[in-house]
Amino acid sequence: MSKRPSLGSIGLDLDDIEAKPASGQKVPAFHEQPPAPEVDGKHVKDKAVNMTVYLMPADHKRLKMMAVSQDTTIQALVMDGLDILLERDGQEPLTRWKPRKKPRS
Amino acid sequence: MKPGKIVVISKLKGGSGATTLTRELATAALETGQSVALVDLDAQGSLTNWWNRRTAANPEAGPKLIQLSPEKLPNMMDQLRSKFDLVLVDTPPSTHDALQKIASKADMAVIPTKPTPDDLDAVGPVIRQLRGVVPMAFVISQITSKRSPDAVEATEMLSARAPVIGRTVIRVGYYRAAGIGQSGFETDKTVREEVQSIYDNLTALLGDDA
Repeated sequence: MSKRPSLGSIGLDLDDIEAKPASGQKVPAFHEQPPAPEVDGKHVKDKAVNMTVYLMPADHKRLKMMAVSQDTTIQALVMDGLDILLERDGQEPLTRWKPRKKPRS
Repeated sequence: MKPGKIVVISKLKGGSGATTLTRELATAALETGQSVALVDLDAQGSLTNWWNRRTAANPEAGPKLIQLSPEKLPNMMDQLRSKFDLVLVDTPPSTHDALQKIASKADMAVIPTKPTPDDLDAVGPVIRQLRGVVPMAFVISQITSKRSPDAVEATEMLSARAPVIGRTVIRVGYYRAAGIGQSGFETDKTVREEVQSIYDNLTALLGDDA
């Protein structure tokens, strides 16, 4: 349980928070503050969209084995496959990013 | 000396009569000899402007105006209780988390609302935010007449969720008084009767009659 903050630690005297006659100040519109600007993330999870693919267990196992044999990831294999489809459709390949983890050696 | 009470005037929709209710209740409490403080968290500053007009005419006039940010207010509420009999917190039209934290340390949340579909629609989010956090009560505000069927229906709907402690009728007595830093309670007999009833019901809920 967190310790209750000391009132003295706030550095305010009650007399200081009472407005002087005819001199009250409006408070800032705290509830209408603009949202913090979006940070341009360094890694994929900072800005990429997550997508789920359902596979039968045997197919999933085959993909895992292929990823291991090629020292890569299922993610990379899926993107390579999607690139082939995009190329066939005359489109640019998918955007790559810097991997969060070091590649398997 | 018993600790004072803190009442938050909460709403999501602007124009519900929260600032008017705050200053009316404050002046009603002053007349009973209580020490009263106001906290204006609404950036619109209507309550602060009213207080400035009031104290420009008479610097000694109560209530006191407390200037604290919503972030600092929760840590100061015990101290305010020790100094004032009644603290009224006028909030902006919002269900911001900071307001829930303030309400959690208050003794009561009073929610004013007009008996219109738009206004009543905006009451639900406030109820959901404050349920289990602080005792609530409603005031049906700005009704067109004492026998308004909308007000009767709204009272039935709201009283199933929390006590309805009164109604106010649209009267110039509320607004004209505000222009000179006074309240309808202080200047208009009919307004006084309405506000007195609300104030009495509020103090009964707060346990000040005990």
